[in-house]
Amino acid sequence: MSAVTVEGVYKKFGGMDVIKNVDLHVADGEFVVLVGPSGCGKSTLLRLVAGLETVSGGVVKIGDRVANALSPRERNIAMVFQGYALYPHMTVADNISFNLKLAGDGRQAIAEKLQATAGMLELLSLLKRYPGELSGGQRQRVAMGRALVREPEVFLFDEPLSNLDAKLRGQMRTEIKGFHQRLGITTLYVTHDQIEAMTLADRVVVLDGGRVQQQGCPLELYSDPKNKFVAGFIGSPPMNFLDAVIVDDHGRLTARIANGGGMLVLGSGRDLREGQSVVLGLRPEHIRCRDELGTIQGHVRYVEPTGAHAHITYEVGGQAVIALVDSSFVCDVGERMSLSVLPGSELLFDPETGERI
Amino acid sequence: MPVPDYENTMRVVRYIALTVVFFALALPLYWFVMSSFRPAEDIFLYANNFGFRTLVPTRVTLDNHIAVLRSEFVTALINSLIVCITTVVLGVFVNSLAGFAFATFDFKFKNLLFILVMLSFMMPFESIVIPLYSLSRSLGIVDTYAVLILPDVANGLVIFLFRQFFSGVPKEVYEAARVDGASWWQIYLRITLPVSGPTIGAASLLIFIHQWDAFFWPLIAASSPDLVVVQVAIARNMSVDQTNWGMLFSSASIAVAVALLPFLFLQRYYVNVIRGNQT
Repeated sequence: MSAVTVEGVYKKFGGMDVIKNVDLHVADGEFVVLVGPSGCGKSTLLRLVAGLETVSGGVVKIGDRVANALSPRERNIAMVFQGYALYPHMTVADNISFNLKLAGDGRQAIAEKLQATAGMLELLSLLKRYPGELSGGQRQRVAMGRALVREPEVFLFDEPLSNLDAKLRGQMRTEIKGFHQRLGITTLYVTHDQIEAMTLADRVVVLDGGRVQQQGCPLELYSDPKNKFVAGFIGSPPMNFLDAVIVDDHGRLTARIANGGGMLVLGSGRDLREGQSVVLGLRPEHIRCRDELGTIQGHVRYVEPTGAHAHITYEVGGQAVIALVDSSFVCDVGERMSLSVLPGSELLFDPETGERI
Repeated sequence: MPVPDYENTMRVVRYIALTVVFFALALPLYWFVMSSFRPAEDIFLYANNFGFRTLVPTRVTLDNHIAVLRSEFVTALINSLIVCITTVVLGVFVNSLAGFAFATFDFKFKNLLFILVMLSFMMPFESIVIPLYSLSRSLGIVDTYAVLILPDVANGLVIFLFRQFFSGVPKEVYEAARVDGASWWQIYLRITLPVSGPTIGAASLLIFIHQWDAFFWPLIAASSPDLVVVQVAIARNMSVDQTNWGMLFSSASIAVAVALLPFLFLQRYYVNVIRGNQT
């Protein structure tokens, strides 16, 4: 096992900067998830670590070795791809053991490692099958087996679950977490699914526009986001953002929501001035609906039951606000009601820079 | 009264049209194969007066075939098979490598080079015969097997077919192989070539038929009797003074029969690859 260090790395494709001066350290045995929207550069960063792309500047280290000039093989990493990338003309056994054969391992050693890996992944009965004869979940296991069998220093996952259905995705997520806990191999995992990121990671790195926006443990990113992008990306349903202006309401700093959406008394300790424009960030799960003491006014636009919970979309001062409520909550579309917010849970952002205030 | 079924009518029209096309294509072939079993004096006896006897021989003989098998034609058959098989083996190797490079790597002037490759198979062969002959003579390969084989090894159409196939292989498969530790050479040999069976089949057929039909180049570049190939040997049955029609038809029939063998084995791949369904 090894740590992975990325220092001041950037990557250009043609004249376009895809990765911009990224610093990242994945400690030995740590599980780090790179998360961000499509095109944010997360897969490119992973490919730079894998050696499938060359860096335009900066340093990639695997352990103590500078890996910039090393081939993927020399980096001793293993990678699981989004589309599995199994060799269609090889059986499951050949797919898993291909890299051992290339490394010149002996027959006996290959057979032993193959049995151990296939046993761990419950693939023993499928060893003679071809990829075309396997289900999506089985192919995913073979791809994992191919990565596990060589006992790499670092595991790289490039959106490995995105081709699976929701049920299988949850199951495989648990298995990946289980493997990491058992084997403790340093892991860098790319996904656009923030739930996957939150559930798997020791540490989450949020990327946007080729830059690291914030990194930290999952709950830290949820409760203490540095900027509007991270606040909106982490959490499901996503955080609501409302344009507001700071006013002094009988000595209390209050956010007045645009277009007559209502008022919200803010928690103390913020450096705010009267008349300042802000973006008010409210988590859907922190909104209390039909609260007589509520100071935000809205009317129901949509009701979306999801099982245990329901998403209620309100219109507040011409802006959409989603609240997460218990499924027993009953309301009608068009109904007007007052809303309140869990005291102190609101976040404020600068409308121009998006930075947290 | 029932309304005529449009689909059934169209089906009947289609079958009639296909039958007409089939006979238009098959009759000349049938006629010359059948004529190779006729005595020389019967071959054109019923040709002008088209009827049952034009199509069904009244007398059957193997003399033409026996004469052909005692002539230089056997040498020509062997030579053509040597030339065709060698060209197929070298051609599949060279063209698949070129197709792999075009599909997998980014390099300077890649698109320009590919356009040149495409142009090469659109250019009539006759237009490059003189420089090709000069080149062959300066290499000292005129009147050798090499002069029959080498100019037909690289084939633009076959490069195009391989390039199309390799472009369809997911990029992730190449990358997985690189992470597994395979060199590009190993990726070509152990990953991509084994999955390109249908394209190899179609390419082999294209190269084989192209070489089997070669006439002009072998005629001028390998004039030695020891290096005569099938098409040249067939043509030698014709001259200004006299044409031996029996031997001509017999040798042509044998040539067609031999060329049909690889086609029977590989036509499934050929049809799939040409229509873009490479599985």
